[in-house]
Amino acid sequence: MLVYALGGGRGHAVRGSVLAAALQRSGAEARVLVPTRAVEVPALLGVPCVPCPRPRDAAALRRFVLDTCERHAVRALLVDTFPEGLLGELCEGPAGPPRVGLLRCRRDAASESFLRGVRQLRLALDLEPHLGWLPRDVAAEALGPVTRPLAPTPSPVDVLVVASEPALVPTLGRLSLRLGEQGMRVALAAEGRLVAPGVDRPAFPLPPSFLGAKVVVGAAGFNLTYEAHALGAWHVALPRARSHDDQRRRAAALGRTVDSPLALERLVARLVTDAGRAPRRVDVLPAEVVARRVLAVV
Amino acid sequence: MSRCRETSGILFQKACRAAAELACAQCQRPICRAHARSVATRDVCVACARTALRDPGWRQSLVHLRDDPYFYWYYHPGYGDPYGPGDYRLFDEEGRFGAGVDDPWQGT
Ligand SMILES: [Zn+2]
Ligand SMILES: [Zn+2]
Repeated sequence: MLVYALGGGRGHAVRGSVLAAALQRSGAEARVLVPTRAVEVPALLGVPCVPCPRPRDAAALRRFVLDTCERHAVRALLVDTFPEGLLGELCEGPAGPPRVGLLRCRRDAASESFLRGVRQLRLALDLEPHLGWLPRDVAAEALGPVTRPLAPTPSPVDVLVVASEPALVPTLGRLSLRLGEQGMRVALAAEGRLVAPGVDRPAFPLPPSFLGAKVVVGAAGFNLTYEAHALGAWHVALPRARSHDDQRRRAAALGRTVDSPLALERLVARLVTDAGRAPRRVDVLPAEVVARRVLAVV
Repeated sequence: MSRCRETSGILFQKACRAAAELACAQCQRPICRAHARSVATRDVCVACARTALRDPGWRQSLVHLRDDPYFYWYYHPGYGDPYGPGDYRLFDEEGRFGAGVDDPWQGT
């Protein structure tokens, strides 16, 4: 089995690797297709990967994917987020192995290219049915969000601040410093490092103990949102603009949002001192659930 | 050769294990290259540069530290409100939502 996990950032690579690992634990042979720049993700999660260099165009990517399927005798292609292929390449030319779609929220869910991709799937699994993002006439099975296995562990900090992209670093760095000055125990993940009093380590993968802080501040991408949610942390979200992902929708459903840096600081301080754990709004599933569902149809 | 005595980290304090290569021109303590910053053509330690940054009279000549990880959260852009226009812009991206802003082959 091949998990197609191409796309910007690392979210696709993380989700795809987590699923490939679960498939392997279920006895299937699975590897994950990730952009060459993201190969450290499957490596850290212990999953065999196929690195995909930046293709010249959709036709080149189609050839690369089909060749990979042939070389590894792939029986099924599990496509993360882009049922039509990242460049629309899966809908053109020879069909290749049957495809299962792992669909997370997309802003362009009504677009013809996405719908065409969905129609070609053997099975479509909606990872975010609670967001109501899929057009009503799309036949997809409501599943739920999946994350890597996360055991709840007491957190050494009150607040985990995740500056996952350069644009967030100055503001969230200032925020971290100011929260620390107010007496909160703060950890900051920025520029690949996780730093906290007495801690300086690679940021990826974020340890569950830090994700289980009282409050997690960061963008509203899939993995951070559901990992924090699974561990009962309040997610104070700064939704980021993306060409496909709808972080505002996710943040509105699961997190708390604010409209200025000072409001952010005040909300974090209030949640740390006043609030209990964040309410459970959706059940976050272990990847095994998806693996079982996939193995039942291919 | 003595050890660097600077304890300023990017965010939190910690001891530096590097060998000292020069002395801070302001406080005279031994520091390593990584902890030296140029302020008005003198090499000073990170802590002394941060002190200078808090003085409005110095800010203008220290703009080169703006993108330095040791400084960008010390670079408080306003007075009264510790956050500046760049910080507020993060919360005001109405216009950018809907625009294709990420390259599918880029990482973060
Ligand atoms: Zn040093
Ligand atoms: Zn000094």
